[in-house]
Amino acid sequence: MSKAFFVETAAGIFILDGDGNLVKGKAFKGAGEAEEELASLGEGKLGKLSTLAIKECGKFEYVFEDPRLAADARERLGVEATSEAPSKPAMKLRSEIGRYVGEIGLSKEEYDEVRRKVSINLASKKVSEASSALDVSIVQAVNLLDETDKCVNLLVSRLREWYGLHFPELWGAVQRNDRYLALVSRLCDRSRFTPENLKEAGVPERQVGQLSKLARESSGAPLETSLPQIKALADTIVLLGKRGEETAKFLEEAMELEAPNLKALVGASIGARLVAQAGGLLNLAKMPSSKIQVLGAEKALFRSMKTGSKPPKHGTIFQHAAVHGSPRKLRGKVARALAGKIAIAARIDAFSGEFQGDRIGGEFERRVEQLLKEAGK
Amino acid sequence: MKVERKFDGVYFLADERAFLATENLKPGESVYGERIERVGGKEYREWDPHRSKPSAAIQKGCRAFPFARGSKVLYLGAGSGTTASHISDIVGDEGKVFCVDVAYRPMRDFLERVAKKRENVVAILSDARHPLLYRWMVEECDVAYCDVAQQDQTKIMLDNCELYLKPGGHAVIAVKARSISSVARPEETYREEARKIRDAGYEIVEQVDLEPYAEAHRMITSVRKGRR
Repeated sequence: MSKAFFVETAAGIFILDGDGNLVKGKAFKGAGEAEEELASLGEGKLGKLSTLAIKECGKFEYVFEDPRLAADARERLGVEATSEAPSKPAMKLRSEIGRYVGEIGLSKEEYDEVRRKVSINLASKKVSEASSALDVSIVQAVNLLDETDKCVNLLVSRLREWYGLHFPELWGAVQRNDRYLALVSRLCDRSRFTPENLKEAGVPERQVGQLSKLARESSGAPLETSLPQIKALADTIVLLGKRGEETAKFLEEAMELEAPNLKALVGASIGARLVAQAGGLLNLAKMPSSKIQVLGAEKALFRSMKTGSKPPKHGTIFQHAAVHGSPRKLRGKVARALAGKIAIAARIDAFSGEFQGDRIGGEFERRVEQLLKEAGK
Repeated sequence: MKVERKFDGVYFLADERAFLATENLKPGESVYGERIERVGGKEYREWDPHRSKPSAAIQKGCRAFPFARGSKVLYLGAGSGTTASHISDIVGDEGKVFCVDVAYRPMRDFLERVAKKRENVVAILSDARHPLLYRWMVEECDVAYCDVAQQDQTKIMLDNCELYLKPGGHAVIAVKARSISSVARPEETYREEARKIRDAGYEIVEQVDLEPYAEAHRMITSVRKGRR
């Protein structure tokens, strides 16, 4: 049986003989049809127009460049089909494309225009699909969370400096940023640091007396004109902190939907961070566990590869309680075990979605116990 | 301002300092915030060697520069289109630039800044490791340019060339030694990649180190042997 070569373009389907002569040409009716057909061909399935072209041509041995299409033609259309890439006729068509599109009624300029339109539409569609995946938002959210923390810390140190002009003693008396913030935002002027107000603000009993005394005897400047500015700053930071909590809540929910197994094993925050460092859930799922183990420790890893110093035992997964909570000597083994389980969890999340988090978590805990016992001997 | 032609569409412009530029295919539009100069009725876009490897190669005195007016170019690793926009300037209305990149984020910018504005550009969001998957978008090309930061970057280029580069066409690769091995000396990596290119039936016509514009990079320009 003689061979017929199946060649696709952005303007239509061509079936050529071994010398590259046209046997059949089928033009797409518009950009919409082209996009649909090419998307299908890209997935290894013959679309409507391809099927029609082959049916109209009849008995040949069809040669495709993509082996998946050859298989599809054999199975669904029952024709003889093989594959060869690149095929000579296809090469010829790609080198003289203007002449070939002429045979289906297009000038080269028209073809260029169609191809350009189709290429932009196909790429835009893929961009939009990729952007809508939830793991993309997880990456954004986890990065936002880190940045929010950094901002809050930066702004709080500015607030402490500025408010310190007015009430320097509060700096040392209240170490925790959230408490300091709450007091400045609520009371601000130190004349309002009365025992009643402090109690209302939730200051522990034993500190009420101390703080009100400090306020009364403060050596700070009155600062009337600037205080509203300082208060506004404190309010803003409080809001920013609340936003951070909202982001963390979103991460919890998004991880529950997108990567429940990973979340069950390492928690939303570490899980999301791993997804971000891998560049998406699919990338994480494709990683060997040895790489997952040192994600986030790239600097140490490359230093060790270059200079032969000791390789890192753990990256981001150090934040997991089982790793940093283990005795130093065991951390490498625990990290390796955890990375293995993370790889499994991420793969289930990416490819099947079935929840097995409890089982995986249980296996990991038993492995850690075993390691601890062995070390105890 | 003095204008000195260097290659097709590529000029050295000089006032207090000299800089490379391409003649703007779309006058009045700066693609990514680069400086625009009008001299003698023509408009030029500054081509920064720190941001673009072919520009770095010219700065370093390369003599083989296959991109020309009317060229069809297959560009692997087009990113957000900084370099691709200059290649588009060079090949002009009669040429084509087929731009492949797998990452959707830079492609978003590429579509807005380059693909939608320049008729000689074809945007392909696809993995260059599987060149067959965009066969309906690409024609036979005069030049293949590969700038992908992947360990198997040379293989990626050669696989694409087998399908789309004409015999006698130029294959240009910006070898990023650090992507291939973080341990080996760049010199060894370059030698190894050059050997792969030769073994595949290409004649190497020039090698240019891109330091200090791009660290541990070398541009290898070769010609595909054989006839149709």
